[in-house]
Amino acid sequence: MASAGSGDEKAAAAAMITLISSDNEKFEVTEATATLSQTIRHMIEDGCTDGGVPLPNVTSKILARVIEYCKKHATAAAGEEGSSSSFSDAAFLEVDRAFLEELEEFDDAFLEVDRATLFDLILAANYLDIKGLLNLTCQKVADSVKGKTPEQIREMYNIVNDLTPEEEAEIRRETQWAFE
Amino acid sequence: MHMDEASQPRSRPRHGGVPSPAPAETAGGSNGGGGGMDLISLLPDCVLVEIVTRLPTADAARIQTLSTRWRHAWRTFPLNLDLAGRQHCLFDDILAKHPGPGRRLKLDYMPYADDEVNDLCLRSPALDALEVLDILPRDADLSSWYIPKPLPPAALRFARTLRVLKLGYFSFPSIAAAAVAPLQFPRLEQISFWRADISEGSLHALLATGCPVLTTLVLDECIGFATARIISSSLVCLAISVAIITLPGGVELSEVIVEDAPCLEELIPFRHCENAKSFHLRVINAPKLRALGSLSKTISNLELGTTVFRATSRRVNHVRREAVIREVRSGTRTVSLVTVLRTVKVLALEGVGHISVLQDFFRCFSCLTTLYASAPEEFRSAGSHEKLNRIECLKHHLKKVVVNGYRGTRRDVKLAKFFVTNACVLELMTLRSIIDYDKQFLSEEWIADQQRQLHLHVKNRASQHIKVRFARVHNRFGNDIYCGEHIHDLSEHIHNSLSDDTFHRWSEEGLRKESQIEL
Repeated sequence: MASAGSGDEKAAAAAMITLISSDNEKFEVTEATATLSQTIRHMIEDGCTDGGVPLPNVTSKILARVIEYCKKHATAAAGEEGSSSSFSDAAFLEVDRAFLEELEEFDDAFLEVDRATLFDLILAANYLDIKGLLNLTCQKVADSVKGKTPEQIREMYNIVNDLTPEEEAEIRRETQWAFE
Repeated sequence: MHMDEASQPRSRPRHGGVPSPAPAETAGGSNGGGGGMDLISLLPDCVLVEIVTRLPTADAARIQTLSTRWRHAWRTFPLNLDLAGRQHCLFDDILAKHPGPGRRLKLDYMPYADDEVNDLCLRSPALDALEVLDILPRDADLSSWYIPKPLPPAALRFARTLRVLKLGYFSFPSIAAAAVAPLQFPRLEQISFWRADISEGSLHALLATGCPVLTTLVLDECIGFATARIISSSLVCLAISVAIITLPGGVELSEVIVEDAPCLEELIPFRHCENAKSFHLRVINAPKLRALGSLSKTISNLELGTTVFRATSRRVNHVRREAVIREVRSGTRTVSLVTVLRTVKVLALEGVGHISVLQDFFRCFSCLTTLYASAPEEFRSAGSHEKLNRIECLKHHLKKVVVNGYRGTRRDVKLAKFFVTNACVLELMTLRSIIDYDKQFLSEEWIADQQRQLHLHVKNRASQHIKVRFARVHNRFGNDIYCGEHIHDLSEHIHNSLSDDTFHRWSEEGLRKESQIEL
């Protein structure tokens, strides 16, 4: 069973996909890495990845970060599958476990970016349909807003209040419970 | 589809003078930290929804006042309704204001005394397509047992969309009677039932066919089934505890059978206490089992394939001048040792009082790397440990040992020394004392004394790299131990009504003092 697993990995490693950023930079990634994106997975399934996959919504700077994320998580996923096919291999699960802990640390470090980059990562994760990355980045934004007053949030994110005083009063009246 | 959504400018012309570049340019964001730009308001709705539904209910409702961009955000996104305590009076108001669909509903107790009104509330369109349902009935007196209430029938209308189902003090409807077609939860990943009533048939049907993607099952002090028969092709983690109090004529748990669980990694019997009823645990097929325990006297019979351990009790009479003190000591006996579980890496074990039984556990779990053990009431050893050198686990695998409830008594020292003299690759042994025991623990003198007692000449140590760490922890339930950080964090699934820390991990966060010595 174990040999079958590694055979699959070899096959996956052989299939490389070229991703092309909005500024025309080319990135070669393995199919395992690329298919963390559901959008790309569907393109591969439809057989329209020859000559590269153009991603007009993603710059090279952001695409590089996204690929970094996918590479790390694709390796983790491969590790998990490997352990399932060869559970009798004593040493394997141990490595797998350590990797998962490392993955959490990776995610934490990955989020240490400025706000513009974070939003670009969110947009890219959404466009490419990468669930894990979208969860990770959106949670980060949600956590930053939690427990804050509207004034604090506006200041934090440079949101200009364009509601008329009447409009704002009306909303506050409607949702008074939320301000208590 | 995503591109379409992203390319629609969402900001209105009077959007505070903020320029609204096409998203492609936003993605190009070369402006460092975002400068003074309002980037968050430029995110398309399909992304904002992911952020807003992660917020607590009141936080999400408040964002409507940020600007016109956010004016309708709360209403147009799925509802995350999480009301604790006295806030429940807002329930109706919020349901009336939000058009739905729902994403998550968490209620510490149902808002109305009338079951029918509660049921009607759950039928609100605001909750349509709910993914997380986490409810307790009204007036649940959480400190004592009372009769579980029937689950509002409307709760089952979320079956097709639920990912997480957490119920306490409810009786789950009989699946056979529920509908013409058997109840299906095609997306349900996590179930935690606390003091819930579910029949054996319903439980088995849920596992075997009703929940094809279920990964976590927590059955905490539940009633209604005598046998928990686990047949699930997807289950990864099972945590189970026995009801302490049973209702008159109620069915209580007597056996847990892991019959066929090809994905099960964590098997966690928990919440052991002195008067808990015992049950049998049989593992027939769990080829990926990685973490097990804690195994305690609550498990009167442990069958792992054809390996059988049985809980025993032994009367001990202490003859004193003034009286004879009778004491019952519980222990474990090996009945047969045939099946070896090489996949188990982490084991939590309570009260193994004899060296030969401990050694049988090491034979059974031959690739164990981490052991959590409670300091036993007694620790008897017969003769030499010479033969232990041949046990694979001690020779090649056991790297970490944690002893809980360490008091430094003679038997505690004997147990600690056992690991030092026999575990060839042991790296860290943590000896945890409970703060409540005695103030003397971890005083300078006490540590010095322990150090002297544990000191062994190099030639008597099995491993040359052992570190011994003394730690002091808070835990009122001294004997309950778990597989520490090696299992999924279940704290979200466990109701802590009995005490704040019944399922508190044996974390060392609360420790006041820690001391590490090199032997």
